[in-house]
Amino acid sequence: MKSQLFDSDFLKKLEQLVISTKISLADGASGNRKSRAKGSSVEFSDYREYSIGDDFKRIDWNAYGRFEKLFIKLFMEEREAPIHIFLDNSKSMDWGEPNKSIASRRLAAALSYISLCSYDRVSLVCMNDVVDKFKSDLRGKNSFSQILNLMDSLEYKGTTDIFNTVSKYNLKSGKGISIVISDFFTKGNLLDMINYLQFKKQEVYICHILAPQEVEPEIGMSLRLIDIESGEFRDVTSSPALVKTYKKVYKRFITNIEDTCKGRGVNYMFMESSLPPEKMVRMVVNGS
Amino acid sequence: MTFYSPWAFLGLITIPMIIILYLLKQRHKDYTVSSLFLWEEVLKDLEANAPWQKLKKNLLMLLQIIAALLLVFALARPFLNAVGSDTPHVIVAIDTSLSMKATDVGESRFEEAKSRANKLISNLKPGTAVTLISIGKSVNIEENLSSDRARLLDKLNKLKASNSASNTEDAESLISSIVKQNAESRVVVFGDSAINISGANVEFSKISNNGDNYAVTMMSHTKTEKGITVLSRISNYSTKDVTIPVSLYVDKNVFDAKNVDIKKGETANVYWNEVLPEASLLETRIDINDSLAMDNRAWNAVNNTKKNKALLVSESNVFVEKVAGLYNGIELYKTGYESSDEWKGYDLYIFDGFLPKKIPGDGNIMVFNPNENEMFDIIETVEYPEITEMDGSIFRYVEGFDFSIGKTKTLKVPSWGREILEVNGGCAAFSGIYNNRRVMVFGFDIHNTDIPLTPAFPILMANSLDWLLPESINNAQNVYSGEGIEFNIDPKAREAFIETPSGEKIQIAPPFPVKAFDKTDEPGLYTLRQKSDEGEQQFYFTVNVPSQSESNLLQGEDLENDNTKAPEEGSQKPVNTGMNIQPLLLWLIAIVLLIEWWVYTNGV
Repeated sequence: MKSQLFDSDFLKKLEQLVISTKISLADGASGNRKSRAKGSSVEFSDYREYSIGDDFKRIDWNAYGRFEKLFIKLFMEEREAPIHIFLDNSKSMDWGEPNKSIASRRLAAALSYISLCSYDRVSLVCMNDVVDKFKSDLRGKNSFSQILNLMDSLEYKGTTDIFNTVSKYNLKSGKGISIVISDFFTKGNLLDMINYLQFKKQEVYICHILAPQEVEPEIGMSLRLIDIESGEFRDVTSSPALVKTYKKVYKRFITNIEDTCKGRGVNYMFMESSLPPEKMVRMVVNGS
Repeated sequence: MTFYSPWAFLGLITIPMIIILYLLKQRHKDYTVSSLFLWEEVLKDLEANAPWQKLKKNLLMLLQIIAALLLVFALARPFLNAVGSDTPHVIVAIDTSLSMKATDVGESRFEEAKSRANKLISNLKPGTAVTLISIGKSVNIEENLSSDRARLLDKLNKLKASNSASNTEDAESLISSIVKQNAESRVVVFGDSAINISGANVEFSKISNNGDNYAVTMMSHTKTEKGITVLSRISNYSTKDVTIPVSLYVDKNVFDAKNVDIKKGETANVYWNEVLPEASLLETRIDINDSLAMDNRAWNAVNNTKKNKALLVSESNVFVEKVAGLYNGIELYKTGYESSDEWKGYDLYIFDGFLPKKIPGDGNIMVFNPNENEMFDIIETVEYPEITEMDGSIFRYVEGFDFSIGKTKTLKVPSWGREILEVNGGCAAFSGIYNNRRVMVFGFDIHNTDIPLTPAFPILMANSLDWLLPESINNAQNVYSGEGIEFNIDPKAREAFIETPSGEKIQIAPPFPVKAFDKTDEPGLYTLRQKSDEGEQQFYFTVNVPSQSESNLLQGEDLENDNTKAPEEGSQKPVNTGMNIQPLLLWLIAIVLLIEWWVYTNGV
């Protein structure tokens, strides 16, 4: 597993990535680069919708006058922000060609490595319907091996319930960055999770990983579709109408997540598992 | 509903087969997916869009079952309302009379009748015996007790409407006798006039649209000093008053034309005067569009009667001489018993008290008081015999005639002869046709009777001469289509032909004696040509359509000459051919298959 997942080629690429891109996810305690976390400094950065718990003083009343909606001004903040990577290790992630579990672990590892190289504090949380395994507050490149070990030993099991499980993880107070990597095949409320993370002063990144077969299902005949997590099944017979409806439902699914994220000023990245890890990383770094 | 081929229901076994095939086919292949999260939404969406989604899963199977069911039903040949379908025998009678040529129903009434009969026969239960009867001038059994559908339909299609009147009486008696033999017979009549058959339920398919028709119903002529006067009778068998243009053609050229106003349901007489006396063919035409074209023309022949030459061979018989001289149409010559070798070229020889050893080679013969001869034998002479029987056409119009004979020879009636007068002791007179010659023999001398003293004598002689010198045609010179004509061929004729209006030549003699001629369906002028050593002799006669009985196409109108009988109430009912649902089912199958194809390709 180790050689497959994180071979020397992959690690070399990570090094190059760190050098070639002036990547910074957060400016840690000893870091010296500008953080992308929004704060209350004088340098204006962006707007986002008001949510319960935000500081009233930061509401932009001019914007309210124009749009009749409460927006909050965000400013560049220069301060340490720990990075939390929430990785979905439910059974549904262990599916697809290329397998979503590999793509997601490579992404998580890459992000961790970049952050460690930038002297940021990294916590990796693997979760399904419960918090399965985690490593918190890792610093320095040397800690990377711990992350690799964790990932190598990771088992894919349980059902996806990442929205609820995130809130079960005891997130330390203080501003930070939270990256959630999942296929989001869950009935839980994404908005609740975002609200929770934002309440905990986290800048949220949503990495939505799906296998190509989930984007364009190959249904050639009468099939008994068996849920890999629950073992439940549904019988379907291939027909143009079925494919058409799937595409419609899929688009709705993506749009829902995307709209929720946009509404809350959350960075949303959609990635197919066939995408090379460096591209995935660039997407996260560039925030799109 | 009746099923004509119930064995087809065996095909229902295909339905469980289809279900089994579907059950086998519907085994779903297992396919593991990361999550049913999206798929459940998809299925929910599909069901929301098509509420019968659950049904849809098996829609193709249902459609196939429906198609199979329809096919089985179609093969079982279902008939709706097929009353009488169990009858083992059906008599199909078709009117082929002239009125069936009327075009007031479709192409013609006859074609409509054939088409309806075709439908009836096609819709009959397989194995049903059908007797096909055509009712025209004669009533013919075209096909008897046949269940060969193709043969019946072929016979039916070959039927043609005639130009004659229908002989309903013969039809009724024929059908009655068939019904008596097959009590369970169903009688179906296709025509425009009803038929009543006692003891049978007749289904009558009336084919009439009460079309307007105008007809030349009669044509006649008389010779006058100023030429020929022609009478044409024109009838208006319509529901409105009309002006009809009528023209007279003489020897195929227009002679005169008139417009005649005729009120509805009435008949007008049109006279044409001073027609050339040499004319031989007269034709009346009405130039008007109506439902029946055949009766818009009528023909009439004018024959210039030739005088018959008769030779009286007698010493002195003033009675016969006087009467024969008075007879119209005879040119009488007289001679004694000598020079018998020269006797030839006469139409009639009257031998009185003498018969030459060598009978003349031509002409008919009348003999009084014969002597021994080669034609017949004389038995004996009797005196004051009692007359025991009088028979034959010569005694027409003389009922109660009583006479006495003083002396007569009794004769042996030859095989070709027929006795006309019997006295106690034998035959006193006979007549017959000997070698195509008419011969009449009286055993007595007319002077030895009191016959010449009675008022009946000229009548007797006229009757005798009528028989001995017949017209070329026995019955009228004008006959109706389909009627037979008996010819009296000239004894001198060697050959005789009939030339029909269409120019066809039909030989009627030899052989002699000539049979009645019945190929008279075509209306128009016919010519009888008799060839003898003396040359050719022509005689004209015409055939007209029986317009008086056939031209009135209005049903239920009480017009003159309407010979259609009103059906007795209850004995007639409309024809029930049943409704063949097979074509409908086949259409439904096609539609179901189209739906199936659409469902399959669109995956609804």
